[in-house]
Amino acid sequence: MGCCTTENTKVNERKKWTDGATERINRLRDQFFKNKPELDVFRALVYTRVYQETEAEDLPIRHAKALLAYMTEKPLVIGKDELIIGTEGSKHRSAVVCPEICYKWIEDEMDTMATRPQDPYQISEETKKALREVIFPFWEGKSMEEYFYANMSDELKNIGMGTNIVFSDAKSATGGGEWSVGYHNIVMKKGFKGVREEAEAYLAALDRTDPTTWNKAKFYEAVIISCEACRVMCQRHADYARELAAAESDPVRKAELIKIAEACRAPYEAPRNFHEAVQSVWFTQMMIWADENQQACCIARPDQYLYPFYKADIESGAITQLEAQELLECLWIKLAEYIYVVTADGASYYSGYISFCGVTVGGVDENGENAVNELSSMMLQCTMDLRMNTPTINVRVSEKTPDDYLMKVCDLVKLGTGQPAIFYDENAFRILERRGVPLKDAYNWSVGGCIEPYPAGTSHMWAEGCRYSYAIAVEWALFNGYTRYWKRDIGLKTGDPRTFDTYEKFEDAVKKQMAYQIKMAVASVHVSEQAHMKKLPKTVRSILTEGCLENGTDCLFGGARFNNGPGLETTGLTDLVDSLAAVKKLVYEDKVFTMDQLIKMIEANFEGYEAERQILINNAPKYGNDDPYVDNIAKEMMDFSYEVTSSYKNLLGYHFVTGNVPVIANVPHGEVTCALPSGRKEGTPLADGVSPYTGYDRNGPTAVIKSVCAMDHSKSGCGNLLNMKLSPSLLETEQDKKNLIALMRTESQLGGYHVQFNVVSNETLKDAQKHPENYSDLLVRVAGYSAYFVELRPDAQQAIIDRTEISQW
Amino acid sequence: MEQQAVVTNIQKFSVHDGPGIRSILFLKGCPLRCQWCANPENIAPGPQLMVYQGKCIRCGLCISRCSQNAIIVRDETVTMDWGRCRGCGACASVCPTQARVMKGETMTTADARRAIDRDIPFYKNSGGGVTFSGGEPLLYPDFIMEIAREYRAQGLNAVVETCGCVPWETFARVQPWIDLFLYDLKFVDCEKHRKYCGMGNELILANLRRLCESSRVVVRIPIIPGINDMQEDIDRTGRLLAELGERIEAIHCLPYHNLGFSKYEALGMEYSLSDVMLPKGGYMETIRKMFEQHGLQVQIGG
Repeated sequence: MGCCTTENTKVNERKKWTDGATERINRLRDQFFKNKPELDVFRALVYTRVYQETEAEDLPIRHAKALLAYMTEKPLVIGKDELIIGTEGSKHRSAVVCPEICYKWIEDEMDTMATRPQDPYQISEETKKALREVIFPFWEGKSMEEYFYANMSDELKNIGMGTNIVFSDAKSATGGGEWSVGYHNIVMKKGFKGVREEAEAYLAALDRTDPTTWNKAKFYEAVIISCEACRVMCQRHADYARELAAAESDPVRKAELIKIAEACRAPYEAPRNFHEAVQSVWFTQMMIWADENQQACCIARPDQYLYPFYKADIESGAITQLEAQELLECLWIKLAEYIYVVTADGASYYSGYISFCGVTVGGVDENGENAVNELSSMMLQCTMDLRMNTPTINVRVSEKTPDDYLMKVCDLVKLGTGQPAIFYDENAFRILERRGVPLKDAYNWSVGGCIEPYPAGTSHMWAEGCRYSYAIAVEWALFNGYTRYWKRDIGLKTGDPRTFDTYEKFEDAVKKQMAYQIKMAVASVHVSEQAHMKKLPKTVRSILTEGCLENGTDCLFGGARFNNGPGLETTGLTDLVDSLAAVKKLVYEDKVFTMDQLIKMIEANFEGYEAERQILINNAPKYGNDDPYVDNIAKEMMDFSYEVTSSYKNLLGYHFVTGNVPVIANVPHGEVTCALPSGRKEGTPLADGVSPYTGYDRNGPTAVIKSVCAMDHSKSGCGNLLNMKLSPSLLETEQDKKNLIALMRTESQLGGYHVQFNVVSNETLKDAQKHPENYSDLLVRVAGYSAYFVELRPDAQQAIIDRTEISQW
Repeated sequence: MEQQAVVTNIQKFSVHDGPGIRSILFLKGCPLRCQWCANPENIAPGPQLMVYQGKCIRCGLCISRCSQNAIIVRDETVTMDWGRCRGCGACASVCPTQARVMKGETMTTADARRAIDRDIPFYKNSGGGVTFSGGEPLLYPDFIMEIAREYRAQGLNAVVETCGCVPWETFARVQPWIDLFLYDLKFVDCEKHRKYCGMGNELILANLRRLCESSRVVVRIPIIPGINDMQEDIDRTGRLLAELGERIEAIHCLPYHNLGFSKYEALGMEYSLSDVMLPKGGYMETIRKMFEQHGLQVQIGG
């Protein structure tokens, strides 16, 4: 209990916020942190009941009816001060249980989740009782996760279950995720009502004698029921707001509540003004998350689709810029409320209650011209005013993006919250072109995951279909498929490397091990896809993805206009290429060590071999220093990975894609990886994304960017992540910012896709480790998202401190 | 003929020594002996051994390589007898941790270009280029000219950071190719200059007056507490700069730091200013105000 008390005190002491656009925003932000995430079974109970009542019906209908019942019955919440209203669960920041997806872990962790170190969920005795008595008994044997496990082969289990080598189960216990929601053409233009009317027309036009009609009919029926759920949600919130208005004695709040009630007509009806448009974003996200517990449902490009409403309201005088800013900041806080429910293990990798809800701003319009507008700047301001880890803000930088906007971007970078992430339009277009997306559609891309590019609202791709580690391929090549950490054979038998008389033979063994991982990853994604197809229809997602309605097909079955992947996301490229370069240079070229000596050093984790380890570190070229010797190896390995990955197809015939998107998997992957020829010791984190290994980049950021851009980024369909830590002293003057902009422009021209900056001095981070109580608001970029530093695991904290801080400019 | 220079370091992504993003070529050798020198490895002209104790893992590989028995093991630490060391670098060639390194590599302009050209895209986007520093880079005027001319042709710029203590003819030769001179000025008083920098400043002051007639010049004044920060020193410097007026593009006052201290240790050199206090609080602001009394705007830091 003592521990909990401290925790609470810490939060109570969190300083009162003063940087919001208005006092209301400050109060809402303070309140946000007082709302403790709590496990919520209201939805689970409704879904359980409806599933019991609808045994005779098709799955999409059952799932849609459950959603309708939930929206009809769910408790309504309108917080004091709120202008944008509604909660996904029964309270603010509820952790909503979706038992049809998975429930086993809740059974296992029910008694520990309130006290787990990372991202705890409060849980009441009443909730526990409902879980034990109603929910677990009904769902036993029925959940998607159980279907997945039942269909995993022994070989897949050996490599991919609980090994931290291949994460075969990435999609086994979660909803679809990774998506850029169709706000532009669907929510803002048609509303759910428009979709419903289209579905009704399509349904009526179906030829019932056509043998392919059945699934289409069921899809349209599910769409119509789900749209009805949206109508009920809107209506009930409007009624409730009016009820509160009637009882409200404060005339100001009364007027606000009446306005709120009016705004609640959207998104069932298409929005008519800015307030309705902003409210409809949040209500749409509620629909999405009520349908499935899932991560990374990104709200595409709100600076674009909200702009016509903003412009009209400003011109007519219906709203002031400050009022618009306030509404946006209300939305920002709302988006942060969503809890993506994960296991204790999951929480240590997706730490900080992160849901990866991304916002993309900037870039170009439908004609390829600069699209930056007032909202693009106001949205940066939202993040500057609030400094919360959600939504993650992604800036599209095109050649057409003006410098003065980028100066504002630098101001946000300078705050040191790890926001925003920077993306280069022209290279995103190249990635999408390779994925088969025409330029015209690529113009409207947004981040739809951590860093992955999606044509907004028109595409379906699981980016995180599976993850695996490149580094383990080195271990398996050195030890003939044996994994030292797990003390068993997991990889392929590629032979004893002591018998390899050329470097090419060693490299070939590594490639075979990589290819084997990829093959196993593909096979397990097939099981995940099958599980989702059998157990978890994506009706709401299909409503909000262009193409599905026209095709009469759920996006899981290929309804979207653009289909790609799934993605196989990787970690450890840098460790792989640094190791290959060391073997090539020191074993085969300079013959400083024999392979036998190298293996002995690695088996000893370099104990007693520190001089040799230093030679491996200092006398072999390292990635991140603009050295073609090693950068060419990186390029070759990426090309190889791309070729193997894209040779495989998913269950619908779409090609798999690759990408160096680690999230924070470099920590768990590193835990199970032996010492490496790069000089890295066993169990320590791998490098993240395409960033250089900690401390190995010694020539500053230009050299890092040159190394990164030696690869062909268009081949990474999921994108490649680059983390760069900058000291705040590098961003003091206007000239410093201009130099940072030049750095970005150059990365873009050289073919890079992404960069994100951590602008926090190591002194600050070390002090935060010692005195976490003083740093509860300290945000740092982890990988693809920002987390509260003091909420990270100690090893993750250390990994961030260890990232080379660039302070020479 | 291809020109050569002894290069100690090529520092990429430098942004405080000239406009934009730049690479700095540190060239070895200097006529002055300023006691606070932050780059002591660039004073002597030839290659030099540096020993960083902190990086030593006591593997002992260097000991048998030393023909002079200059490496001594005592109480498990490896120390240097600098009196014996002949600077052959045999120990550095086997040191696995780079605790021992030879500083100063003879490079042709082609060698140097291979390194600095890799960042040309960054120079282009930022209005940057190459900066020659040292030591005194103008000890290698032909080397500088050859690179600067090529850079100029590509629309990039070249900056020279100089102590000014070279014959005027050297300035005259490189002047057409150099976009900006960062010109160090320590004292106007000749005797003090002699005392703290090893020689008088007549040539330096004369060159400054001439150079600013025809080239862009930024004057950089390192402010060394207790040595050149007295009212009298500042006033004399201020009067000179006020007289040169707009011919000087900007004045930078560089706060004293002792970040070079570890290098003295690594070189086996004495650091005679170890008791100088680091500037703190509003110290540099006071200095700025002292210059303002001469009607001069100064920038703190480079």
